[in-house]
Amino acid sequence: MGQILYLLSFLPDWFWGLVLIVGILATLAGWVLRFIPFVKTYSLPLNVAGVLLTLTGVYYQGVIANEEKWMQRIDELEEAVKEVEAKAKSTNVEIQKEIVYQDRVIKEKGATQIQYIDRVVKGETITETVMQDMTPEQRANYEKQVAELQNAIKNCPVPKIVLDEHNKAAMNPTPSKGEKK
Amino acid sequence: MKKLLILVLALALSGCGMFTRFVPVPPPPFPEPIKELTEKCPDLKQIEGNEVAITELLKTIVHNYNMYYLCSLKNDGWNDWYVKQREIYESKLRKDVKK
Repeated sequence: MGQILYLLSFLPDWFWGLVLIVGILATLAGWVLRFIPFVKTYSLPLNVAGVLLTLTGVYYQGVIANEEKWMQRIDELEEAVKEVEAKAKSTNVEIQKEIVYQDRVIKEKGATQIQYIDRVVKGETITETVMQDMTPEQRANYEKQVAELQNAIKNCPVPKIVLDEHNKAAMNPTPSKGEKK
Repeated sequence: MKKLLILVLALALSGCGMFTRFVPVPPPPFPEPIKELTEKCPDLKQIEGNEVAITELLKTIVHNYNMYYLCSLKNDGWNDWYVKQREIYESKLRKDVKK
Protein backbone atom coordinates (compact mmCIF):
# COMPACT_ATOMS: atom_id res chain seq x y z
CA MET A 1 0.00 0.00 0.00
CA GLY A 2 2.79 2.36 0.98
CA GLN A 3 4.69 1.72 -2.24
CA ILE A 4 1.59 2.36 -4.36
CA LEU A 5 0.92 5.64 -2.58
CA TYR A 6 4.59 6.55 -2.94
CA LEU A 7 4.47 5.94 -6.70
CA LEU A 8 1.21 7.86 -7.03
CA SER A 9 2.77 10.80 -5.20
CA PHE A 10 4.96 11.39 -8.27
CA LEU A 11 1.89 12.32 -10.33
CA PRO A 12 1.39 16.09 -10.62
CA ASP A 13 -1.23 17.74 -8.39
CA TRP A 14 -3.34 18.89 -11.34
CA PHE A 15 -3.89 15.25 -12.33
CA TRP A 16 -5.89 14.61 -9.13
CA GLY A 17 -7.93 17.73 -9.75
CA LEU A 18 -8.71 16.36 -13.19
CA VAL A 19 -9.70 12.97 -11.68
CA LEU A 20 -12.14 14.73 -9.35
CA ILE A 21 -13.69 16.78 -12.14
CA VAL A 22 -13.99 13.74 -14.43
CA GLY A 23 -15.52 11.77 -11.55
CA ILE A 24 -18.15 14.43 -10.87
CA LEU A 25 -18.96 14.76 -14.58
CA ALA A 26 -19.20 10.97 -14.96
CA THR A 27 -21.55 10.75 -11.98
CA LEU A 28 -23.74 13.50 -13.40
CA ALA A 29 -23.64 11.90 -16.87
CA GLY A 30 -24.65 8.56 -15.36
CA TRP A 31 -27.59 10.24 -13.67
CA VAL A 32 -28.62 12.03 -16.89
CA LEU A 33 -28.24 8.87 -19.02
CA ARG A 34 -30.90 7.14 -16.90
CA PHE A 35 -33.52 9.31 -18.60
CA ILE A 36 -32.34 8.62 -22.17
CA PRO A 37 -33.65 5.43 -23.76
CA PHE A 38 -31.19 3.00 -25.46
CA VAL A 39 -28.15 4.36 -23.57
CA LYS A 40 -29.53 4.04 -20.06
CA THR A 41 -27.83 0.61 -19.75
CA TYR A 42 -24.49 2.53 -19.50
CA SER A 43 -25.88 4.58 -16.64
CA LEU A 44 -24.90 2.23 -13.77
CA PRO A 45 -21.27 1.51 -14.82
CA LEU A 46 -20.76 5.23 -15.51
CA ASN A 47 -22.24 6.07 -12.13
CA VAL A 48 -20.01 3.58 -10.32
CA ALA A 49 -16.92 4.74 -12.18
CA GLY A 50 -17.88 8.37 -11.50
CA VAL A 51 -18.33 7.77 -7.76
CA LEU A 52 -15.03 5.87 -7.56
CA LEU A 53 -13.18 8.63 -9.43
CA THR A 54 -14.84 11.29 -7.24
CA LEU A 55 -13.79 9.44 -4.10
CA THR A 56 -10.25 9.04 -5.39
CA GLY A 57 -10.17 12.71 -6.38
CA VAL A 58 -11.45 13.82 -2.96
CA TYR A 59 -8.95 11.56 -1.24
CA TYR A 60 -6.02 12.98 -3.18
CA GLN A 61 -7.21 16.56 -2.72
CA GLY A 62 -7.00 15.82 1.01
CA VAL A 63 -3.56 14.30 0.54
CA ILE A 64 -2.35 17.37 -1.36
CA ALA A 65 -3.77 19.78 1.24
CA ASN A 66 -2.25 17.72 4.03
CA GLU A 67 1.10 17.58 2.28
CA GLU A 68 1.11 21.34 1.79
CA LYS A 69 0.29 21.88 5.44
CA TRP A 70 3.21 19.71 6.54
CA MET A 71 5.62 21.23 4.05
CA GLN A 72 4.71 24.65 5.43
CA ARG A 73 5.30 23.35 8.96
CA ILE A 74 8.71 22.01 7.92
CA ASP A 75 9.64 25.38 6.41
CA GLU A 76 8.57 27.16 9.59
CA LEU A 77 10.58 24.82 11.78
CA GLU A 78 13.65 25.02 9.56
CA GLU A 79 13.43 28.79 9.77
CA ALA A 80 13.09 28.61 13.57
CA VAL A 81 16.12 26.29 13.80
CA LYS A 82 18.21 28.68 11.72
CA GLU A 83 17.10 31.60 13.86
CA VAL A 84 17.91 29.75 17.08
CA GLU A 85 21.32 28.78 15.77
CA ALA A 86 22.18 32.35 14.80
CA LYS A 87 20.89 33.76 18.07
CA ALA A 88 22.83 31.17 20.08
CA LYS A 89 26.03 32.16 18.30
CA SER A 90 25.51 35.89 18.78
CA THR A 91 24.68 35.34 22.47
CA ASN A 92 27.89 33.35 22.85
CA VAL A 93 29.86 36.25 21.39
CA GLU A 94 28.18 38.71 23.79
CA ILE A 95 28.87 36.55 26.86
CA GLN A 96 32.44 35.94 25.72
CA LYS A 97 33.08 39.68 25.34
CA GLU A 98 31.75 40.32 28.84
CA ILE A 99 33.83 37.51 30.34
CA VAL A 100 37.03 38.61 28.62
CA TYR A 101 36.45 42.17 29.86
CA GLN A 102 35.71 41.14 33.46
CA ASP A 103 38.63 38.70 33.44
CA ARG A 104 40.96 41.54 32.42
CA VAL A 105 39.54 43.85 35.12
CA ILE A 106 40.05 41.23 37.86
CA LYS A 107 43.60 40.40 36.71
CA GLU A 108 44.53 44.09 36.49
CA LYS A 109 43.15 44.77 39.98
CA GLY A 110 45.16 41.86 41.44
CA ALA A 111 48.33 42.87 39.62
CA THR A 112 47.95 46.52 40.71
CA GLN A 113 47.51 45.51 44.33
CA ILE A 114 50.55 43.23 44.31
CA GLN A 115 52.62 45.97 42.64
CA TYR A 116 51.48 48.38 45.32
CA ILE A 117 52.56 45.97 48.08
CA ASP A 118 55.96 45.60 46.40
CA ARG A 119 56.36 49.36 46.18
CA VAL A 120 55.44 49.82 49.83
CA VAL A 121 57.86 47.08 50.87
CA LYS A 122 60.70 48.59 48.89
CA GLY A 123 59.77 52.06 50.04
CA GLU A 124 60.23 53.43 46.56
CA THR A 125 58.30 56.36 45.14
CA ILE A 126 55.88 56.39 48.04
CA THR A 127 56.33 60.06 48.66
CA GLU A 128 55.85 60.93 45.01
CA THR A 129 52.78 58.91 44.19
CA VAL A 130 50.85 57.80 47.27
CA MET A 131 51.50 60.77 49.53
CA GLN A 132 51.23 63.61 47.09
CA ASP A 133 47.55 64.37 47.80
CA MET A 134 47.70 63.77 51.54
CA THR A 135 47.36 66.35 54.26
CA PRO A 136 50.32 66.60 56.68
CA GLU A 137 48.37 64.60 59.26
CA GLN A 138 47.51 61.84 56.83
CA ARG A 139 51.09 61.81 55.63
CA ALA A 140 52.44 61.40 59.15
CA ASN A 141 49.97 58.62 59.82
CA TYR A 142 50.86 56.86 56.58
CA GLU A 143 54.60 57.12 57.25
CA LYS A 144 53.99 55.61 60.66
CA GLN A 145 52.12 52.69 59.08
CA VAL A 146 54.90 52.12 56.53
CA ALA A 147 57.53 52.19 59.25
CA GLU A 148 55.49 49.68 61.21
CA LEU A 149 55.30 47.44 58.15
CA GLN A 150 59.07 47.74 57.48
CA ASN A 151 59.71 46.80 61.08
CA ALA A 152 57.39 43.78 60.81
CA ILE A 153 59.09 42.62 57.60
CA LYS A 154 62.55 42.88 59.19
CA ASN A 155 61.81 41.52 62.63
CA CYS A 156 58.71 39.39 62.47
CA PRO A 157 58.85 36.53 59.96
CA VAL A 158 55.55 34.70 59.66
CA PRO A 159 55.52 31.69 61.99
CA LYS A 160 55.86 28.34 60.23
CA ILE A 161 52.56 27.11 61.66
CA VAL A 162 50.71 30.02 60.03
CA LEU A 163 52.29 29.19 56.66
CA ASP A 164 51.42 25.51 57.03
CA GLU A 165 47.82 26.28 57.90
CA HIS A 166 47.58 28.67 54.98
CA ASN A 167 48.96 26.03 52.63
CA LYS A 168 46.58 23.42 53.98
CA ALA A 169 43.64 25.73 53.36
CA ALA A 170 44.87 26.51 49.85
CA MET A 171 45.19 22.83 48.97
CA ASN A 172 42.33 21.38 46.95
CA PRO A 173 40.65 18.69 49.10
CA THR A 174 38.96 17.14 46.04
CA PRO A 175 41.57 16.41 43.36
CA SER A 176 40.13 16.56 39.88
CA LYS A 177 39.49 13.41 37.80
CA GLY A 178 42.59 11.57 36.73
CA GLU A 179 44.66 12.78 39.65
CA LYS A 180 45.55 10.36 42.43
CA LYS A 181 43.73 10.92 45.68
CA MET B 1 -25.70 1.19 -1.70
CA LYS B 2 -26.03 4.51 0.14
CA LYS B 3 -24.58 3.03 3.34
CA LEU B 4 -21.68 1.61 1.38
CA LEU B 5 -21.05 4.97 -0.24
CA ILE B 6 -21.03 6.74 3.14
CA LEU B 7 -18.58 4.17 4.49
CA VAL B 8 -16.25 4.50 1.49
CA LEU B 9 -16.43 8.29 1.63
CA ALA B 10 -15.59 8.26 5.34
CA LEU B 11 -12.66 5.93 4.68
CA ALA B 12 -11.48 8.11 1.82
CA LEU B 13 -11.55 11.25 3.93
CA SER B 14 -9.90 9.63 6.96
CA GLY B 15 -7.28 8.15 4.64
CA CYS B 16 -5.78 11.61 4.26
CA GLY B 17 -4.60 11.29 7.81
CA MET B 18 -2.20 8.56 6.73
CA PHE B 19 0.03 11.27 5.37
CA THR B 20 0.37 12.97 8.73
CA ARG B 21 3.89 12.31 9.88
CA PHE B 22 6.76 13.29 12.05
CA VAL B 23 8.27 16.59 10.87
CA PRO B 24 11.73 15.70 9.54
CA VAL B 25 13.56 18.78 10.81
CA PRO B 26 16.75 18.08 12.75
CA PRO B 27 17.05 20.04 16.01
CA PRO B 28 19.60 22.86 16.08
CA PRO B 29 23.12 21.79 17.02
CA PHE B 30 23.97 22.08 20.70
CA PRO B 31 25.49 25.56 21.14
CA GLU B 32 29.26 25.61 21.39
CA PRO B 33 30.54 26.48 24.85
CA ILE B 34 32.64 29.60 25.27
CA LYS B 35 36.36 28.75 25.25
CA GLU B 36 37.15 30.89 28.30
CA LEU B 37 34.52 29.05 30.35
CA THR B 38 35.90 25.61 29.61
CA GLU B 39 39.31 26.38 31.12
CA LYS B 40 39.88 24.64 34.41
CA CYS B 41 40.20 26.79 37.54
CA PRO B 42 43.85 26.68 38.66
CA ASP B 43 44.83 25.51 42.13
CA LEU B 44 45.41 28.15 44.77
CA LYS B 45 48.95 29.36 45.31
CA GLN B 46 50.87 28.02 48.27
CA ILE B 47 53.69 29.70 50.20
CA GLU B 48 57.10 28.14 49.85
CA GLY B 49 59.99 28.41 52.28
CA ASN B 50 60.22 28.63 56.04
CA GLU B 51 61.25 32.25 56.58
CA VAL B 52 58.62 34.29 54.85
CA ALA B 53 57.93 37.99 55.30
CA ILE B 54 54.42 39.05 56.17
CA THR B 55 54.16 40.86 52.85
CA GLU B 56 54.84 37.64 50.97
CA LEU B 57 51.96 36.06 52.85
CA LEU B 58 49.81 39.06 52.00
CA LYS B 59 50.75 38.86 48.31
CA THR B 60 49.86 35.18 48.20
CA ILE B 61 46.52 35.90 49.84
CA VAL B 62 45.82 38.70 47.36
CA HIS B 63 46.78 36.36 44.51
CA ASN B 64 44.44 33.66 45.81
CA TYR B 65 41.54 36.08 46.25
CA ASN B 66 42.13 37.11 42.70
CA MET B 67 42.01 33.48 41.57
CA TYR B 68 38.73 33.05 43.41
CA TYR B 69 37.17 35.94 41.53
CA LEU B 70 38.47 34.63 38.21
CA CYS B 71 36.98 31.23 38.94
CA SER B 72 33.75 32.75 40.21
CA LEU B 73 33.54 34.65 36.92
CA LYS B 74 33.63 31.33 35.05
CA ASN B 75 30.92 29.88 37.26
CA ASP B 76 28.69 32.92 36.80
CA GLY B 77 29.49 32.84 33.09
CA TRP B 78 28.28 29.24 32.80
CA ASN B 79 25.06 30.09 34.64
CA ASP B 80 24.50 33.09 32.41
CA TRP B 81 25.26 31.01 29.32
CA TYR B 82 22.83 28.28 30.35
CA VAL B 83 19.98 30.67 31.20
CA LYS B 84 20.34 32.64 27.96
CA GLN B 85 20.76 29.62 25.69
CA ARG B 86 17.80 27.88 27.26
CA GLU B 87 15.70 31.02 26.87
CA ILE B 88 16.59 31.19 23.17
CA TYR B 89 15.79 27.51 22.64
CA GLU B 90 12.49 27.61 24.48
CA SER B 91 11.35 30.92 23.05
CA LYS B 92 11.48 29.61 19.46
CA LEU B 93 11.46 25.84 19.27
CA ARG B 94 9.42 24.72 22.26
CA LYS B 95 6.78 27.30 21.40
CA ASP B 96 6.66 26.05 17.80
CA VAL B 97 6.38 22.41 18.86
CA LYS B 98 3.44 23.21 21.13
CA LYS B 99 1.49 24.78 18.24
